[in-house]
Amino acid sequence: MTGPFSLHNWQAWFSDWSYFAEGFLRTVYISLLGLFFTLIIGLIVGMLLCGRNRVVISICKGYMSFFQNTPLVIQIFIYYNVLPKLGIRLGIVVLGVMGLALYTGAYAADIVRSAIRAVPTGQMEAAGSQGFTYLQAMYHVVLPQAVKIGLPPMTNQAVNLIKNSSVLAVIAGGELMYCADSWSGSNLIYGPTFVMTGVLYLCICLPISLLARRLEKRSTRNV
Amino acid sequence: MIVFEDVHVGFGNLEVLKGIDIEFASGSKTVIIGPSGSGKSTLLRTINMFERPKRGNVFIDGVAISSMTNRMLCQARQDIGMVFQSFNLYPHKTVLENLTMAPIVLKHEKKEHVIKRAMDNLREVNIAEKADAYPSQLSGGQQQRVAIARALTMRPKIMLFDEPTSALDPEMIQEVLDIMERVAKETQITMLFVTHEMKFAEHIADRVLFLDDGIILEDGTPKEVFHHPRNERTTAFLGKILH
Repeated sequence: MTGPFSLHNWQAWFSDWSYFAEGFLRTVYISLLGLFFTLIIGLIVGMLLCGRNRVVISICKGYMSFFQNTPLVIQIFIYYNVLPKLGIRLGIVVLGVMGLALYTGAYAADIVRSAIRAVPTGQMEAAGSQGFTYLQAMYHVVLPQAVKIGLPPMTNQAVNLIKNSSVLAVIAGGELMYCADSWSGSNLIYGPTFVMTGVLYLCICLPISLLARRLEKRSTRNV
Repeated sequence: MIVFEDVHVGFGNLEVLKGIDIEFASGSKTVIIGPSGSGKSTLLRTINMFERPKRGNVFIDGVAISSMTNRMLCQARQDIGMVFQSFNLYPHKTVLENLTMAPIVLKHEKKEHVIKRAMDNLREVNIAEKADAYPSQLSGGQQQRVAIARALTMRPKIMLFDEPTSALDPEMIQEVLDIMERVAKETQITMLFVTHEMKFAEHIADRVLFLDDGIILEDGTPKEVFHHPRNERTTAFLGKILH
């Protein structure tokens, strides 16, 4: 068999599997860190959006508008090329995690805001009538209910974040997509490389997608 | 004792309470009646400062609750229970947890003491067997009885009932009224009810207020207000709800 999917090409790919395994682990590592900071950003910005301070709300909306309406790749390029000129030198992983978290955080904030708003106002009133402060009521009453509502869309964002981590290939992020790109370029073997890279992304994303679907079904059942 | 001194409450240009001056003695049971939009619920919600007066003051046991900071207000609200029209139980907590969460978190009481008190209160409202159920597994009447038990578990000095039976199916109203009547008769808690249940009012209230357009038009015993109203508006209103 000849062509892009020849046996020789597959053999070559499998003989270098450890190179891809490294990229795979780096993708998982960057994604987990990115997800962690995405949740923090989403929670803080989402809660601020539900507050009453108009200046704070405007700042949050400005952040969301900018990050939701510009391509991630441009944001990453700016961090990579502009920040060093301002004297800010960040490692590739830090830069990648920051880029992914700021970008996905803008969507996560929207989810957190919607989830909090979906909790009936009577819940906050009931907590307030018992003597809970705003933050205590959020922590004990509103957020536990909002998590249930927001978890399915948040899981979808986690999948998006993992897939978007492939953008880091443009700044030599060392993750899975970068490995695929550089290895295929040096060996001129594209078929098996990108098929297997896709399969590896599928291995991370598919279980999370299935989890999202399951959570979605569960959240529609009565509490 | 709760004292209202020239209390004005409004939303935007709409004035809902127009200079309320009234006192509620400790341990008294007052029923507030009046047409829709007359300011009954607003009057109730001004006691725990869910609505803040634009003018005037509300005092509880001599302390101006209307001048309190948010932190002080949260502390004060621990002594003011409220039962809502739509129950507002916490759906992610079991019935027992609904009762125990606030005393444990806010008053730092020992869990076992709170659980014992909560179970006593659940027995008081005849729903102890549902302690481990979730609110969604209960009927409206059962949920409202749990809400009453939840308010009682905080050991409040004042309890506010904001149309507690309005959202219930007719066959469930009586079970909640019976419980409220029992609680009202057995405790020394100052209670204010916004309700149109006249029989209930006659049984438990030592005072009935008729509120119309943000003003108290009638203030007397149930007998005086229901059978010998002085104001024409009261007569017209009672005529509508009694027939």
